[in-house]
Amino acid sequence: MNAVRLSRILYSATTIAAVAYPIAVFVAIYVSPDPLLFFVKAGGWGVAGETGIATLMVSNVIAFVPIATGAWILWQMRRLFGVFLQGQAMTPRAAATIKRVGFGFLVLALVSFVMLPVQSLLLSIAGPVGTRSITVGLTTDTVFALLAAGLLMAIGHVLADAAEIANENKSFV
Amino acid sequence: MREIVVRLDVMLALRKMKSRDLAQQVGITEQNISLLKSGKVKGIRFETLAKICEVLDCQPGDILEAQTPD
Repeated sequence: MNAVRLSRILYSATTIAAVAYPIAVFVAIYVSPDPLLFFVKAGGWGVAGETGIATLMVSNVIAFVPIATGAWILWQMRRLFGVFLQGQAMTPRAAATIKRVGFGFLVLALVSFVMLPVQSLLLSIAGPVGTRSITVGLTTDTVFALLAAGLLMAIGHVLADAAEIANENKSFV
Repeated sequence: MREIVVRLDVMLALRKMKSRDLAQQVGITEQNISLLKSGKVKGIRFETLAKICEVLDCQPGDILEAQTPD
C-alpha cells in the first residue's frame, strides 16, 4: 500500500468519523431513557439527590467539551490527510496542520484532567455537608494524550523545518 | 556585493539551440531552463551545470558571470 492510497483511506475514514461521532453522541442522548442523566451515567458519576436541573445542564455542557474537542481533532486529521492527498506532505501547510492535531490532543488531555474535579464537585455540591467531594486523578488515557500531543507538535516543528529545506531545494535546478 | 548573472540565452543563440532541446538533453524541464535564463533560481547543481556545459560545449564562465549591480 503506497502513501497516496493510505492517505485516501484515512481521509475517507476521518471524514466519516468526524461526521458520525457527534451524530452518534446526539442519537445516544436522544434514545437514552433519561437524556439529562446521559453523561452522568456514561461517566459513572454519583449524583447528590438534591442536584437541580440547572446543575445537571451545566454538567452536560461541560461533558460536551471533550466531545467537541475530539470532533475538532478528527476534522484537523481529515484536513491533514487531504493535504497529503494533494501531494503537499512537505509543506508549511502540512506542518501547521500536524501541530494543530497535536494541540487538539493537548486540549483534550487538559480538559479531561480538569473535568474530573469540576464534575465531581458540581454533582455533589447539592448534597449534605460531609458528602461533597472533589475527585482528582490522572488516567493513562490522559498521559497518552499528553505524550501524543507532544510528539505531534514536535513532528510539526520538524516538518516545518523540512518544508523550508524542500522549498529551498526546489529553487535549485 | 556582486551578483551572478546567467548568460545562458547568449550561449543558446551562439549554438543555435532552442531551450526545449537543451532541457531535453540536460534532463531538466523547459520551465527550469526558463527560470535559469531569467535568473529566478537560487542556485544550480554542479551536475546540471556540467551537463549544460557538455551540451553547449562551453565553460561555466561562459554561462555565469559575476557582476556588480548598478
